[in-house]
Amino acid sequence: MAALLGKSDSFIALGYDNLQGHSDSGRKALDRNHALERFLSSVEKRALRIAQIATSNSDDAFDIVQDAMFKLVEKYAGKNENEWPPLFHRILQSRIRDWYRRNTVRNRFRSWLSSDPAVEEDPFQSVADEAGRSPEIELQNSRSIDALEQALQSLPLRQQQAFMLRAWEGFDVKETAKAMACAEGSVKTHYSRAIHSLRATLGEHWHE
Amino acid sequence: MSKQMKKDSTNFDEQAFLEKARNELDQSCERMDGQTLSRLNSIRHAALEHGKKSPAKVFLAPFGGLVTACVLVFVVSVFYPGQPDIPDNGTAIEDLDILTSAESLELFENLEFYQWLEENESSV
Repeated sequence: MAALLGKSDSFIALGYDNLQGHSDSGRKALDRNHALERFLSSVEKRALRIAQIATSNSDDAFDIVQDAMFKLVEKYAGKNENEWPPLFHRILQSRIRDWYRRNTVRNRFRSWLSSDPAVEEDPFQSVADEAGRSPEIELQNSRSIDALEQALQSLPLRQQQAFMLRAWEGFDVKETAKAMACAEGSVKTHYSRAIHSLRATLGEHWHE
Repeated sequence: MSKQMKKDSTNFDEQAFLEKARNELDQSCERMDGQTLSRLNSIRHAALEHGKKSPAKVFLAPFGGLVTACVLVFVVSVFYPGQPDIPDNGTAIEDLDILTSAESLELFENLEFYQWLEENESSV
């Protein structure tokens, strides 16, 4: 009987440990989820702007950011938090490159199959201003960013990526090379050319 | 590196230029409208929910390389020979590595869709 009681005690103890283990792992999962949400909140606006500038298409930009978020959460949620920024940007840039390739293939098909390719309307032209700002205020606020955005959009994708990651995200050459999946030397070249082109497009006094 | 050192012979202040670019981009994020922020919020929550539901499909991993190789062989054998000259649509030479990269073959899966899209657009 004593042996039986001893066994039942150990079963109870085992069950308690098990429950505690489950609650610990549940708490860890919850903490991780909160950390992921904080991280995604902190990068989502910038990620969207990067994708918008790369694609010039708001819907495509949202799709790219969503894909990047899904992939990060699905594959790399278990990684250390300080590894998330470079991983996220690597995924994001990879998705942008995929979009670029798909778009290039689509354009080629159009030029093969159609002798009179339709001129695509810029989707940003038809988007209404939700905030209801007056044209004058909007013009004042956006003149400078519009010029920058147009200059960035005119850059080859590689130069654009190098500039956005180095200048805006503050990545060093090594981190940028990882995100762009290319050599560090290439990053330096693309970045240098990007600065040169932007300076030529925006003019010497744009920043003054 | 000081600001002065960054100035080149034509007095172009690279640091000031970069600072202005950063500020403009930051402000463009601050000016995002409610609809955009709401959409971002939705996709973030969708991603987090997706993470809770779907465990990694580890058992399929060993077949990934094989599938990629098969698709590559198919694409090269079907599309490479006798390909007509492709008109240049303004693609920069610098982005050639992106177009020729074998990193992802996702786009080839959509070739039929683009053909269908083109046929539909031309018939309208």
